Amino acid sequence: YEVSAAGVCCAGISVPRMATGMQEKQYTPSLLSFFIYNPSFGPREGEEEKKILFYHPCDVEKNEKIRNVGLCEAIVQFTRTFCPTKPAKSLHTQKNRQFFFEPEDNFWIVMVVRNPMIEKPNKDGKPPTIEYQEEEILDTVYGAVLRQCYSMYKLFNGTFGRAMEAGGVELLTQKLEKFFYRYLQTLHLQSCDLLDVFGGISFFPLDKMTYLKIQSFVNRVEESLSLVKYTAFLYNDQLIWSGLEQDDMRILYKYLTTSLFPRHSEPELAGRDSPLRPEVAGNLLHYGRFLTGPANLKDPEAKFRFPKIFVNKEDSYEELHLIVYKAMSAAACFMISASVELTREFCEQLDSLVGPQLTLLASDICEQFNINRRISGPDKEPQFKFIYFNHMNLAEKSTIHMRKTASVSLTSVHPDLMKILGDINCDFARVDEDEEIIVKAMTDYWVVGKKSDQRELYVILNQKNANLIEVNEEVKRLCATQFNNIFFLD
Amino acid sequence: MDGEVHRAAASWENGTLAPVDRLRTERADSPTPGLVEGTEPGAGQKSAMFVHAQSFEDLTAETEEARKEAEGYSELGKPADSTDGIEVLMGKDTISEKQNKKEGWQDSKSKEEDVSSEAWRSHRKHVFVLSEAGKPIYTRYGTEEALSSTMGVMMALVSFVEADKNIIRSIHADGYKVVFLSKSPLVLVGVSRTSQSDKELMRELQYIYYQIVSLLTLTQLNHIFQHKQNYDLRRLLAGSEHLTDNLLHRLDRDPGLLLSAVTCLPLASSTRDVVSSSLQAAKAKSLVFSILLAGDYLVTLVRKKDQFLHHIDLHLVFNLVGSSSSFREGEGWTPICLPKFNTAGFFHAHISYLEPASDLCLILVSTDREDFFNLSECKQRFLERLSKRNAYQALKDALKSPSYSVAQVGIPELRHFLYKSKSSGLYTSPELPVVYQSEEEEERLMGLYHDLHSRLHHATRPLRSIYHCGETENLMAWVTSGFELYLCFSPLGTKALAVSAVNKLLKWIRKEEDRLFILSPLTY
Amino acid sequence: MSRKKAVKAKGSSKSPKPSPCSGRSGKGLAAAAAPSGGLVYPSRPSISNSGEFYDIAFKVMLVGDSGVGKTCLLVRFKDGAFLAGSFISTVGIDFRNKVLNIDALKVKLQIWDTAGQERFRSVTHAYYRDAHALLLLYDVTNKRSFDNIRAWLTEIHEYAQQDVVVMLLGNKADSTHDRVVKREEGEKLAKEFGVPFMETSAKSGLNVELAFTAVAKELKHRTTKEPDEPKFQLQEYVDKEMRTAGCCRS
Repeated sequence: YEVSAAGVCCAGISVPRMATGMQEKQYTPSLLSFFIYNPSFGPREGEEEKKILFYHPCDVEKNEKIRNVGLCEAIVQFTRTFCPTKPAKSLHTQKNRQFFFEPEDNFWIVMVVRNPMIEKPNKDGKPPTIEYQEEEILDTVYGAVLRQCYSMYKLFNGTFGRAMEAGGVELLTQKLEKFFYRYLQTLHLQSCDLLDVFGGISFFPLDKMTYLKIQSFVNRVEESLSLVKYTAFLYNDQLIWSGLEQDDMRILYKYLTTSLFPRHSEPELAGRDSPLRPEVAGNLLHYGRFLTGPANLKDPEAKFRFPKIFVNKEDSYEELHLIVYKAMSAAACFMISASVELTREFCEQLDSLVGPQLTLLASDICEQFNINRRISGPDKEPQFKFIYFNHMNLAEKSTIHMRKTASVSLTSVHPDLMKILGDINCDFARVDEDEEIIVKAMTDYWVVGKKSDQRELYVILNQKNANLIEVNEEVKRLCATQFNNIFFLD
Repeated sequence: MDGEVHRAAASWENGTLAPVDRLRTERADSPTPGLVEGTEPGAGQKSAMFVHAQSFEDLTAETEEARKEAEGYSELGKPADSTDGIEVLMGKDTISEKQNKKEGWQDSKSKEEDVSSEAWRSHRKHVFVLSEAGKPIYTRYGTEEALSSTMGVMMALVSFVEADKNIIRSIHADGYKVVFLSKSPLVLVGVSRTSQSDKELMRELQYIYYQIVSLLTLTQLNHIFQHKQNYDLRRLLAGSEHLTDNLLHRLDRDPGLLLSAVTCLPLASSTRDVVSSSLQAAKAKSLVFSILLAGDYLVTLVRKKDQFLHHIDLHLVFNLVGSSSSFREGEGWTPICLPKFNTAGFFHAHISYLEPASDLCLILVSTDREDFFNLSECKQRFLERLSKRNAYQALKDALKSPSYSVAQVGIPELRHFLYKSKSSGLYTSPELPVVYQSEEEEERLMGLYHDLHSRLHHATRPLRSIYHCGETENLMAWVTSGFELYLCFSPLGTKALAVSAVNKLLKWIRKEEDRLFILSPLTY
Repeated sequence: MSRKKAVKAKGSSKSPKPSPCSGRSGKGLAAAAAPSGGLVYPSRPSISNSGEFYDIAFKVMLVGDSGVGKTCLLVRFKDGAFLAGSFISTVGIDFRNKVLNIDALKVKLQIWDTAGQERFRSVTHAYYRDAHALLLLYDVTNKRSFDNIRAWLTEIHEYAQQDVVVMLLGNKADSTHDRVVKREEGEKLAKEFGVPFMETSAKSGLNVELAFTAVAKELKHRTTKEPDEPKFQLQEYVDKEMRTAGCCRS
């Protein structure tokens, strides 16, 4: 398996293609613009600018902004001719794709992504020829990325409507500016793929004993610290236990694994004696520390402010403090009503209660994990790679992605194969029935997709000379060993 | 040999579609060396009948003119009367112009339908044609008048995006998509609730574009709009709406339009040879193509040496014949532009049924507008010769069973299939089994074939094969350098069965190829 | 009316070689015998493509706006049937033959049904000059088709032969409810241009036979008449025939 180059390069930066001697440059998809508008805010001519609540990049000229928003409005309005209730979701043009999303009444978020392109130099000083690759971007993937943008905003700010109620357009634009200015920099459009469509959660595989230990730990903490409303427990970027609603956990999980954890991973990797570990010194009882809130409890200047998050509650939402506390590879999230003010005393109490227990649990889990690994035998490069997703519990598993962090996602297969997975996923989404699709790519890789009872499995096989029957046998074996034969088709 | 074929194909392509070229060379390395292009079942023995038989991609080619050059154009396709036509149509002292100033010279249309109704909205596939001034030219449902503001918006969207030196392609929403195709001086828009890809829908719009060109020629179209941007083209297209309607219907049903191929009337090769040679003998100086159809089946096609008919042009002829009831009784004589041959000029087609009650229809394509009687005589000569050589009865007998049932192939669980020989541009397919005979099911099956086709021919991620296992049927599709094969099995069919079915089917087609295909096409 | 086909061209290889009619051939007329029994003698000089014998042939062209009922009129005349419902749009020109018995002569009318649409004008123009007679139709329920008659007449004048027989027909006369063009208006216009006129209905059959027969009579008369014979009065004949038919019908 070759590691794809396209996965590593950053937005907009060109990577020369080695195949041709000429200086041919290939550009990956990149974010052209991102804006939020509400058509009801400037209905009269001459007031169009009032509609625009956020516009990235901000240095775009005013008329240009108005023009681009106008096009989106026109597209949306036009499609209502054909279906009043389901307007446009995306616009494809030669050079770019625009994605439309109306998360709340009349509030539209638009993301414009430039198609990947190849720049071919011309002789005699002529400007280079640009070839747009129009079929490279999958709507499902970027549509999901756009929805995720909103979910992330909502997790930390609540709805747009809430900001409007609290402080009108002014507050809303402030909040949007503050949030998206930073968030958009963390979008890595060139490495988005099927996993973004699923937005799944990777679960940590665990034996029953250890799982029960964790559950009783959560119960004990919630009993002792009655302020804690919800708890979530993760190990190594994988979820073990969550008291939140699935959809809230999904976006929180995304935040933890792609933003919060990576930012704190460096000291962790540095080891316990490293000077990079600011807080461990003097406390040998446990390795616990706060990832949100106070960096060092001993610091007299320490602030006890935690990020606030919004989670769904029936028709409404509730605002919570998010405390993320980590010991070695184990992380516990505690959520406490935002109406309560969190004090030094509370944090110290939590630290002394949770720290030692979590440290112990972390090493238990680690030990258990290593035992399991030994049982399952030595790591051998298998003949296949797979992605699995279960719509019912959002569980996902991928042997294709080597590491998924905020900055890079390394996939171990060619991007074209990943897109074929995306194509198959689109086919599955169309019909609500069990299906199986097996294709042979031009590169002779076999790709198998299975959908059965809310579960989807995608397998890539590197057996160029295999035939359909052999491929089928191979996948059957995989299902038997990995998934207890949950797929029934043929 | 194989290399030659490929070089030839590449020159047709004119290099505008780089990915396709790439795809083709990759296909040459297909793991079925025994079935390279030109040796697959159904491949013609002498020379192909059609221009560039595998030209699915042709439809998406951008530059018409460049392609022409590549074809090494003969004088034939440039009849002089296209300019006459313009004079007549546009000249100041003609009736139309004068009358139009007063009241217009038009018929009102009878497809009244409330364009704001749910029924109108929920049509499976809408097609709109408009001029670059935003004037309505055609709508599949409802009237152009009622939709003039909608079409105005469509044009506005096209020009708005164009102003940024960009091109609008499509809009996607839940459950439907809108596809735009600019073919100056026309703009075509499709709104589809099917699962077809953008590319497939574009291809269908291209067909509609060619349909309009075949009625007027591109030269005339351009001329008209250069002189009068605001021209209401419906005046010239009056009475042709049903042609477009019918073509759209065909696009949903006819596998030939999907495969860029035509299917033949199964016929003993000895009979077909007599028919072909009789047609060959009934030639005239102005004749370019002689085509004998039986309903939607091709019986034979004789062409002038070095002149090739493109399958798109042939499908337009099929559509013209199939859409017009007036040819049955008399002899029709009509100008027709074959846009893939030459967008600039008209041919003149003599169209007649061999007998009023028969499905056999003869089309004699001539370059001479005044040659009706001559061609009428050609037809007589053909008929005489056919009778003299006792082929007419054999032909009529064959017409009684124009199709075959899939049971004849003898493969369990196989319900239906499409097989296209790439080098000959011909395909064969059994009649629809009972399960797919209802209108709805037929459309659904075709939809499944469409899906497979668009996956196999994806512009940047083409596939060698697909196996799709669903609740209602199992499907398999396979492309090699020589053929395309699509199979539909009952849901009971297994993968092992599918694999063996392919081999069995290919053997069967090889055995039957001289009956199912035209292996020795003739020229005058 | 003789509608019997004597020989089927396709069925017999012994049949005389078909020769497309070449216009006003008056040859062999003298030998013409009355084929009253409907039997056709093999000694006939000419045979049409569809296998019918005839003595003399003429080209008649149906012109007028699209949708005025040209094809329906022809089908009613040829097959005695009315094409109800579906809108049939002629493509280019449609050629059909019909043999009539006119004064003991078999007159073949080669009828060119033309498409009314603008885009076919150039083709139809090419065939105007060979036409011996033109039946110019308008639709009494469509004012525009009537208004266009003047333009059609100008066009006929420009492209057709000088001595072409023209007859104006106001079709769809059965549609009393939708009628917008009065009979008198048609008459007036016909008088102005000096052409015979009548109203027809392909649906009811009114005057359909008469229109074609009258034209055939006129053409036959012109061809066969001796120098001192009086001219055939077409309008007079039509008026007389209409009166008789009228009293029979109502």
